[in-house]
Amino acid sequence: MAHIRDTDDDDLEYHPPTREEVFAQLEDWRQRLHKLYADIISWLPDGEGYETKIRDYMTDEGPMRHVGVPPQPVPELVVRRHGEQVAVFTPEACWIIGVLGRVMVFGNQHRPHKLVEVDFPTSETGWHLYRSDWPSPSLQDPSSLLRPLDPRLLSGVRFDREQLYGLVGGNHG
Amino acid sequence: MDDLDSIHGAYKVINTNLSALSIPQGISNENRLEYYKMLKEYEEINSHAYFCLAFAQCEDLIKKRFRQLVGTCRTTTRGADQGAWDYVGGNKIDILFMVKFLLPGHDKIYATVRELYRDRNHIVHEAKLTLPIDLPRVIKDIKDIAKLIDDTLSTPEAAL
Repeated sequence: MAHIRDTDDDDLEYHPPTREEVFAQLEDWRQRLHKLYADIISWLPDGEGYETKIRDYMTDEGPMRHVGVPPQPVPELVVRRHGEQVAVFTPEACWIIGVLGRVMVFGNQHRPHKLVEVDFPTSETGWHLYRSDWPSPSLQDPSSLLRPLDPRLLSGVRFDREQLYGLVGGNHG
Repeated sequence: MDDLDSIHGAYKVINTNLSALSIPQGISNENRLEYYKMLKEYEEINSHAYFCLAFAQCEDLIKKRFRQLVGTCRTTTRGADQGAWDYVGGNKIDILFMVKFLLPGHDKIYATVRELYRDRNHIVHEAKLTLPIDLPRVIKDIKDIAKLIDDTLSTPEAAL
């Protein structure tokens, strides 16, 4: 029996990125994060007491350690309202299976929300939000196991102005 | 693809409970950091395990649909085409080549399946837990790929 295979697939090994590729990916990640933060800042309404600050967050991902690159700065966005911190957007990973990148959103809730950047033909390209307070099955609430999974747990929702307001408080709709 | 929903549900239950664990009382600051790291590592291992299960569903669907396609084409074509399909049906085909048959022209989807296949092999054959995984998105993509394959096969021209 012959084994029919595609010559495109001669190399299916996982090759970790080189040092140069690591730095190039980090630079691309910084640009994508700045674009996300620019959108967020533009969505915050004037006169509602919001202030934002972009600061460095030292990221340290597996592919960086693999080639001996020490933690590197990437931008983190802090949102305050009337002087009180309401959300911190912290980059988590740009080397991640399934999405282009993931940002955790820390607020007052116990667990962070997450934003993922999507680029797949069957989905709308861009950032999608997964809130940690959506109903999720839990062993602490056995009846939750009987309910169908909330479809948002799979697909998330497109991250837009309205979703941002849900994260940073206030009713600006 | 009901099994994908079950895999997602099982993953969510474990993941939700891991991330909801509270800090043990009286723990030192140093041990607190270690505790968080351990939970994070458990979450990662959990996502890797369920990723392999989800990809197995994807692989199974691709093989089943490919056998359907070959079966149909062997009976609906004639001459050289039929000979070609007989040859394809009588030999071992790589799963990625099957994707090219099932979804001709969908280069980006092919590239995604190829990456997932490579990542799954890396985990399963080399025991490497190298990269984090966004499991819900992976499962969503696999479900979408499954639907696309089914939609493509259900159009009459796809079988020719």
